[in-house]
Amino acid sequence: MAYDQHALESARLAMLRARDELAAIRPRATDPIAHDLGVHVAWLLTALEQVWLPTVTRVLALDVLMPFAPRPADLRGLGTWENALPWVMGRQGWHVRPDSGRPPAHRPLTPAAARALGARLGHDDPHRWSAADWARLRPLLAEIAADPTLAEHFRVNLTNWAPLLNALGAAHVLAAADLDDVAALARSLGAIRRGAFGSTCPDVWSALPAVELLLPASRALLLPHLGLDPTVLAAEAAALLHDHPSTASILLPALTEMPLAITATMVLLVDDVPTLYRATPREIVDDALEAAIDPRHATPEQAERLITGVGEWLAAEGLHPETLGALLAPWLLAFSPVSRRFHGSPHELARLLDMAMSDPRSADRLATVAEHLDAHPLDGADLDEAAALVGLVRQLALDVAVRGAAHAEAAWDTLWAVASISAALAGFAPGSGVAVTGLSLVVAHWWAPDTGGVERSATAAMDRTLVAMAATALTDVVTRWRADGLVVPDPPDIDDASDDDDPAPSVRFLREFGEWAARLPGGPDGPLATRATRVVYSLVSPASAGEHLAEAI
Amino acid sequence: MEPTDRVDELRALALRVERLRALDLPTLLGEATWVGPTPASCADDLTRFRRLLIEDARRLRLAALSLEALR
Repeated sequence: MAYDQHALESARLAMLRARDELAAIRPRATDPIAHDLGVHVAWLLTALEQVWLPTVTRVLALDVLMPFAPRPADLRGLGTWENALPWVMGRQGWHVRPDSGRPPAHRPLTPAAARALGARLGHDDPHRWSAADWARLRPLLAEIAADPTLAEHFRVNLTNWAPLLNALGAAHVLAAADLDDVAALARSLGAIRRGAFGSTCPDVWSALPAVELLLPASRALLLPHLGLDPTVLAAEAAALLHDHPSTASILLPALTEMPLAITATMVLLVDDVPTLYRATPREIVDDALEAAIDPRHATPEQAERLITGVGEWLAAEGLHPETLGALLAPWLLAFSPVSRRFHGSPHELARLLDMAMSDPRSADRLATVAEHLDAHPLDGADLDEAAALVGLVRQLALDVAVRGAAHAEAAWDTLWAVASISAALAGFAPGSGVAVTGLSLVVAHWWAPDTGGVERSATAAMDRTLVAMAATALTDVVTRWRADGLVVPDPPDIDDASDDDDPAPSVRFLREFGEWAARLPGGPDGPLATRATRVVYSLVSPASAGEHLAEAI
Repeated sequence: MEPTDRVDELRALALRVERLRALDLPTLLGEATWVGPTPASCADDLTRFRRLLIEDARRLRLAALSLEALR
């Protein structure tokens, strides 16, 4: 402990007077209403007489018996962060004595203690700290970071940040501390720095004192937590990752939690992705890329830059096919020949899609496209894109099936997933994922594709699949119409299209559909028939039906 | 004891509690005087008693008010 000798002597005298007053008031608390008061006065008297007066008296007596002069033994225990305040006051002339007492549990830090901790950390050599030192510092800094007043007091006395931040970076690189502790300490220190700027920190030089003196690892630890504008953060992060790719293992996981920043950062780093893959565990780069192209945050321009830049490199190198599929899946509709989301050459986009569908691992990820429906801003106009995409994917799947049966199943999955989007869009309703799920079940139970490798059987299988989807989508539309009070005849049944002996079921289905549409209210050219025709033709068109029939002959 | 006397007694007792020097002890034995684990325990202990005594005085005043209203 540390104390001001004169102030403590004055306090001792005040304690004596307080004790006498309490002793005098106790007999007066005889009214039953004052019972609690009597008890509390008795407790306080006991605490004063038996604990605190003797303690203070003993401390002051030491000054008489043993005039104060700092000795190493006196300072024992002052190395702990909890004792930062006695340490600081001892350096300012207060008397210091060994204190065998234990700090009260869960006692909130005071501004003076926060200020003292700042001074203590700025004075020490943090490179000598152990993992336990960092661990004990963690809750203290978290408490300071959570309280603007404490943070302000802490900042006042911590004037030299570089040694502390560099030691933290070194502790991460050398694994000299628990990595969770390091991450939490970086968060807290970043929040304490951020507090100096109100809302958004203008630039990294203001946010990080002596940034030029900081180790790359230290900058990587702090950057995400400084409250920088996402654009500024992305530029700083990209520059750091470009110069020091090994910091990706620190920086990218933190940025992945910051949607705007991760997208902007990865777009800036498109050309550095090969380097990042070499310098960092693959999962970290994969996660960063998937977060960066999330359609909820990435613009089509950003997504196209990432997908074409990274995707083509992955495809060309034959690396990480799952990543290639995962990159394309959320933006699959943009690969539709009629889509205007991406501005690249449709031929190049189709080639990239073909490469993704050619590997079963990437095709598996592509087939997860339906999972992204809720995140993607789909509307009725998407139906045209989806319909054109069905045609493109249908042909690519067919090519894959013809090239080699080993990969055909995954390519079929992609076709189903894309066709499911088209079918789900038929209702133009939110929550179309439900319809997709239902369709997937229908398709999975109804028909498994023949991946025997001959074009004819693959074509027939595809025809049956798309007819089943069209029939299901049509049933979905009719159900909605009936729920709205419309009276419409039953649509062509899905079972009618499931005749395995029929080489081109789409021909028969379209014929029955035409007859059914003619019976709709408004006739064959009415709004209901037009709507139903649009839904069905997005999956099964007369042109493709004729093609199938010709191939079946 | 007459009700009026009791009300006065309770109010006098409350006033006396509110003026106790013991209520100043947390400040006198705070961080401006001594710091460390034992001083922190001392300050916490005295602060707790201060709160109890202030609450006791408040209750005494409320009780006096209630008795007065019953008269």
